[in-house]
Amino acid sequence: MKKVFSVVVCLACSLVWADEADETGAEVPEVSTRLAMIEVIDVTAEKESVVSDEALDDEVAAILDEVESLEADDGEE
Amino acid sequence: MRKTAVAALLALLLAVPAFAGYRFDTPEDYLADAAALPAWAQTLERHTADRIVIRDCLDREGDCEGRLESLRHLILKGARLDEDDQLRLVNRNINRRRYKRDRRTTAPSVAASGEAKLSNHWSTLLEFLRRGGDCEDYATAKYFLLRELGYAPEDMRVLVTFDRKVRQYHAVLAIRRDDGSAWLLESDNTIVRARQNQYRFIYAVNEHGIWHYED
Repeated sequence: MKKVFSVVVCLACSLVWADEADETGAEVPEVSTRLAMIEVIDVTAEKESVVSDEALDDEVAAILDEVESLEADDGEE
Repeated sequence: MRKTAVAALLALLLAVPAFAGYRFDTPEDYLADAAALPAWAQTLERHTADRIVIRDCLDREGDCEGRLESLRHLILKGARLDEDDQLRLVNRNINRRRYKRDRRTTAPSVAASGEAKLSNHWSTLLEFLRRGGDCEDYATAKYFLLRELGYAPEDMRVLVTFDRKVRQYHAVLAIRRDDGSAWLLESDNTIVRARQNQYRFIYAVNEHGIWHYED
């Protein structure tokens, strides 16, 4: 059990030490560089809607139906 | 027995960061004002113009044309619901729209350098209702619709993640509830706690700022 305790303490110390090293040693890129990096990320994941098992409140379900019905009437795509 | 215990403890310690939840209160992640991301800033500008049209429609039913009539109905009826039901209503209503992939354009900040890098297109609520869109447009449409229902921008962010399951970037709307917890309005109609077990958080935007989670 002592060995287990020692391993955990060592691991915890190394994690704390590693965090401190990151704070002082790693260079944070310029804001403009980081903005350019995120600007070109292609956000494309296609996740289809699925019919959830979760029951909808009657009032919510009714509003959704009414909205759908109005949109069917307005003729837009 | 001891080896098993050590292995279990190590696995637990290593897994903790991977399951950390999304947090709104991390000022160290703040990157810049929303205006610094041109594609998003332009969407906010277009939405400001759209809001005048939406407000006119809410004030006078006769001013509503096309999708505005159903949007008016949704906002006025939705305003009477409690918060949980409002979130479900918005999530379901937006999710049933048509998925349409971006026509990507050259990012303004890199266009001058001559590099052929591309930028996402972010839709306003009205653009999305008329034409559909892809995942970031679903997230922005939910954001703008919840703004119309009175949600504060401080409690919402369009969160761009890396989805480990499909190995693609994915955008989703993150909401902060009264207890400080963060929830995601997913495109599969679920509303789930925002944890990193499926997603790696990359960056987030709202109408005030941009937050970046990777160096």
